[in-house]
Amino acid sequence: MNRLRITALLLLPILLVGCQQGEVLDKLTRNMNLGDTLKSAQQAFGEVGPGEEEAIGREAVAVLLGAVPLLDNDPLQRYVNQVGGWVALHTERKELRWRFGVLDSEDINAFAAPGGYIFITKGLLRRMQSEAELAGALAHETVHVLKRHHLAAVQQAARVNLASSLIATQVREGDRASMEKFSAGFKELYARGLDKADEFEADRMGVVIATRAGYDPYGLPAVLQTLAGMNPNDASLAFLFKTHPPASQRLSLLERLFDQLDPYAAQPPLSKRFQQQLARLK
Amino acid sequence: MMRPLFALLLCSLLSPALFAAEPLATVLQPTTLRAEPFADAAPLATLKAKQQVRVVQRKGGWYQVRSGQQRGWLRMSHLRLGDGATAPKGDSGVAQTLRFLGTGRSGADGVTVATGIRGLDAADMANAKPDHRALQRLDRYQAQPEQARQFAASARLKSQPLGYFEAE
Repeated sequence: MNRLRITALLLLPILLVGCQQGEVLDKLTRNMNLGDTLKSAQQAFGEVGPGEEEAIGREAVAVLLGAVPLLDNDPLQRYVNQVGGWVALHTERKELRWRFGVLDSEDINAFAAPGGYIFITKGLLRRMQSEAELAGALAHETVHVLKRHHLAAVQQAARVNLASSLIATQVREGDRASMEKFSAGFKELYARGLDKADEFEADRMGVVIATRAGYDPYGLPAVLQTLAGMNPNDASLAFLFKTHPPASQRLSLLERLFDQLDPYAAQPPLSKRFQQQLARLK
Repeated sequence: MMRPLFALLLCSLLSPALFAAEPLATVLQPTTLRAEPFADAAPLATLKAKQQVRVVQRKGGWYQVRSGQQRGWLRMSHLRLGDGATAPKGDSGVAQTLRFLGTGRSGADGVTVATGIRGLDAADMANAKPDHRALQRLDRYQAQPEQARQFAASARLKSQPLGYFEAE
């Protein structure tokens, strides 16, 4: 296993780490001796600069794309980047290099990674009816980047200062066993997803961002309606449902905002433009 | 009468989006069916909780539904897609259709069968080899701010100043 691979494995969970990592990490760090790595780690990761954020995100994304390829459809990829790029101009981090990708998977999911990387599966795209729905889902994902949810989740448990230093630290032969234990622990974290509160925040802010961009504000609620109406046993939903609060609960929380969204209800959903683009999906 | 499976297949072949086939929905609470998607539009009927309707279209925070011979509008929050308010019993239409197309068998026997499409999971990620070439491809798709602005203008999307709503 080369160094790059180890780094990638460690970074991967930053995509979607969960709420109980404190406990898990306690166990992990108690059971291993990371020596110098741990010491240097404690100095790192206090503040993640933009360059580091991009580097962390990029490694995580390389692994994601190793697991799920990008859809081989340039026009559709460019379309999603234009929708996403426009949405991102209505966030507080316009200066990021926002990149959007359609993943070639029938699974229903969307992902974000630090630095401004957003992904949506073609399975989720297929279940949408309008550009406003796409904009709403992408806006939700941008919030995870805006609020640095992934980085915060890792930082929350103090000892995970580790993660950043591991990027910079040479992984020596002697550390290998520890590294493998560590990455196994991270995989466990990865499967949990972000904190529920982070998902609700992303919904609440996401509808505002999509509305600012001029779209029908009910795009994200409509996506959640679709998800809430699907069979939870559907295999294409398993990973999403494992890592997110139930769609019906997310929808109930959003419904409290409907009175505030109503003044914008006449903004366009752009169903036709979306359907034309979606026709590229075979 | 058309057999349900045949009808489902027909719908899926005829409509560009599978979901366009008037999905089933369940009313969550007693609510007024209205002639138009506005709170003060003329009332047409009262729908009962758990009553099932078909969704025709959405406009803003309203759904147009079909209930028997009647069509009217309901607030989005008074409805859940699916045949039950919180836990739909059957597969979604999409899953049924995909399964049928995949295996040639319907799931109409009431047994929940997996769709045959294995979902993504954490193991896929853990076993992945980083793909840096795909990253470079991703970079090329990026829309520059000026391109995004033109794209929005071409559909007459207009920016709206709006602050975030307070958390409760």
